[in-house]
Amino acid sequence: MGNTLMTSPAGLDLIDGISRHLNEPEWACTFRREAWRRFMETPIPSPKHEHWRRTDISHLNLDSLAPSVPGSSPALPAWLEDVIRGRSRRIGGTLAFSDGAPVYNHIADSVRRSGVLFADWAEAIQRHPDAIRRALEGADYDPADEKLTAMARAYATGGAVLIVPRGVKVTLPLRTFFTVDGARAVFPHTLVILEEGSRVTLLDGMLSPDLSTPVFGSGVADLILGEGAELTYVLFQQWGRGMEYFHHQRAVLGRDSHLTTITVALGASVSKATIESVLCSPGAVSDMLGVVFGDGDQHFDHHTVQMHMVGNTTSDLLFKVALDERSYSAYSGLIRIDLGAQRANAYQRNENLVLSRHAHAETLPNLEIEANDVRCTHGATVAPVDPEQIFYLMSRGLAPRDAKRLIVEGFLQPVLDRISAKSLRDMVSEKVDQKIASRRL
Amino acid sequence: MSQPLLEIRDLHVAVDGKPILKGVNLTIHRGEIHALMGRNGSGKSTLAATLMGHPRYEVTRGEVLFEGQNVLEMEVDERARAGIFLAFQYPVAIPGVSVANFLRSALKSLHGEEMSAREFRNALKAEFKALHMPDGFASRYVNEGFSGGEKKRLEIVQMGMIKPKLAILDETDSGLDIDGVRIVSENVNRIASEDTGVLVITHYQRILRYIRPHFVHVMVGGRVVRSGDESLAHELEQRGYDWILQEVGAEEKTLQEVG
Ligand SMILES: Nc1ncnc2c1ncn2[C@@H]1O[C@H](COP(=O)(O)OP(=O)(O)O)[C@@H](O)[C@H]1O
Ligand SMILES: [Mg+2]
Repeated sequence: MGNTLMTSPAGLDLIDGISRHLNEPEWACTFRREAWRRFMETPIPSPKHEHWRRTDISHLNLDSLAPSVPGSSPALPAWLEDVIRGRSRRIGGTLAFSDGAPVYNHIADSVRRSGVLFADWAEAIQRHPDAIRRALEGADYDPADEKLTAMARAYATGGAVLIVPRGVKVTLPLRTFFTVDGARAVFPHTLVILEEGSRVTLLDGMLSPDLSTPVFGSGVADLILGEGAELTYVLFQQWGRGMEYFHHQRAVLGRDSHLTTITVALGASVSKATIESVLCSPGAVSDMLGVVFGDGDQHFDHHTVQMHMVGNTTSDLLFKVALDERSYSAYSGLIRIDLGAQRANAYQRNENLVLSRHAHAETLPNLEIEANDVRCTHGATVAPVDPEQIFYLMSRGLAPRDAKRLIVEGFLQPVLDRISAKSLRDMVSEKVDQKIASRRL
Repeated sequence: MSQPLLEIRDLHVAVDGKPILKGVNLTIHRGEIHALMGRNGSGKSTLAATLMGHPRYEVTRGEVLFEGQNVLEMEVDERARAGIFLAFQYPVAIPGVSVANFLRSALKSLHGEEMSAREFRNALKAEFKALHMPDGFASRYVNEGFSGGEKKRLEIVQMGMIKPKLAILDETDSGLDIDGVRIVSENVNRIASEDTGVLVITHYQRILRYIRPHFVHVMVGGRVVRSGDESLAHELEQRGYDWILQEVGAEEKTLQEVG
């Protein structure tokens, strides 16, 4: 599959080509061109920048990376077919993308009949151009991520769009899977729009086998919750080794809406994610959860933002990180409460379990609170496995390795338990347990 | 007499370089119930933890044989597989790990072959029932948010599932109310077969009304200073420990004078 070496203005041709291939309206093409211009103009982030201090990408030659040539038609890889079919019971719909192109879709009749749109980008933009346009125009990422988010916007070929109409409660969870199969760069894009009073659960799966040549990825997820909407969004990241993946997730919460995001990071060589909840109407509630399990030389960098723009809003956060071998994790979390956002509640907790002498965890909470009538707590721990727990388990006959395995599973389990859709919870728990079980510990 | 189940000879143990046990001798045969009494800080838990192999407790002298095997060379899990069980004075919480999952893994490690899921569920249900605990505890996380009494009962549920050859109960009675002590004791008596050795560590006599010991030992300052039958426990209950301390003090003085 081709990887085009890009230099301006051949770049613009490519952008136009993608847009034409997806049969996009004029405005969408303009949007891509603008994104591409910002991408080209923005310098690669410097490791001196606070946001990029822990993950240095200054060596990456981003300008030379491009999506697969549009028009190529990848197939559904057999292993991904197994993943999809392995747990297809009690699933409302699945979309899969390989090298940026749609390769599979199945949507349950009950979901289709309820008026839900769950489709790849090209189809969605034909059916709901206005809603998508509004969403894209409203997207406002952390300026520190500009280089990569603009790149993702310019180059996104495949992508999933989910629009749940007013009042519709989708009981069966939906899934998307993104993979690579030869491409050197991927740009996954997920857009979720929940209209007033609707409800849905979506798992965004990013996965691949280990990659023999390095692959770069920059993905964006826009989550928009209307009044009283409820969304559970699971980001399941299990890219193979060889991937350097950058994820930018931004949720905008309307009045009385409730968002639960669960970030599960197991894969990739390097992965960095910005996960942001913007609470812009009273009554909005955001629960952000995360599970990271690292081994080998894996590098994880998670930055969360709990942004309270108005009062009477609540955000809670729990990020659990377990690290084995020489793996590294940085967690930084910003709680921001604007002046005037009175009676906001914000909680944040980051727990790190360090399983090896060579693993390293950093935790950096950051509070910017301008209102005075708020409740806000934060806490962080970095600790090895408690030897008293090991002793207790071994006294019941468990070998040291099994004792450790049980402790790590137990450490991460409370977050996985928050995936209320059993079919998704079982899939994610199984993958986490498999990774733990594969460790020597 | 047959080979003892457990034989402790001149055991000296230090923690962080500080000597705690200073020459403990104790022999337990199959089917015997021994009570170990003594004030707080006399070294009872140190002995229990050392027998189970806690890495912080350093054996500086002496030996421990279990069915003739040198226990001190065995890892903690090997001791468990050999048949030693410790009911902890302070059971440890394992967040996120359900009681059922934990015991399933434990039994698998202890016996190698796996019990069927159904057999396991039924056995666990029966143990909870016997200990007057709702079976909802099977899906609770191990000891997390348990009351003191619930933790102690769960230790005996575990003993019932594991059926050890030697059960060391470290102050299982503390934290239990009167009914709790009775229920726990009845279950220990039920689980312990004619071949099981039991070491009941306590500083009250009340649990010994139900689990009736064949031998009672008193520990003072890291040594067993008195051994006797049940009547020694009664005497301690009535007179407290001071008289023993005085007698021991006098003996040591005499020893020093003689020495
Ligand atoms: N892990 C430990 N670290 C430091 N000191 C200990 C430890 N365990 C026991 N000790 C000390 O050893 C002595 C005996 O304690 P312990 O065995 O717990 O007594 P008992 O169970 O009879 O109350 C006490 O002085 C106690 O402080
Ligand atoms: Mg004690």
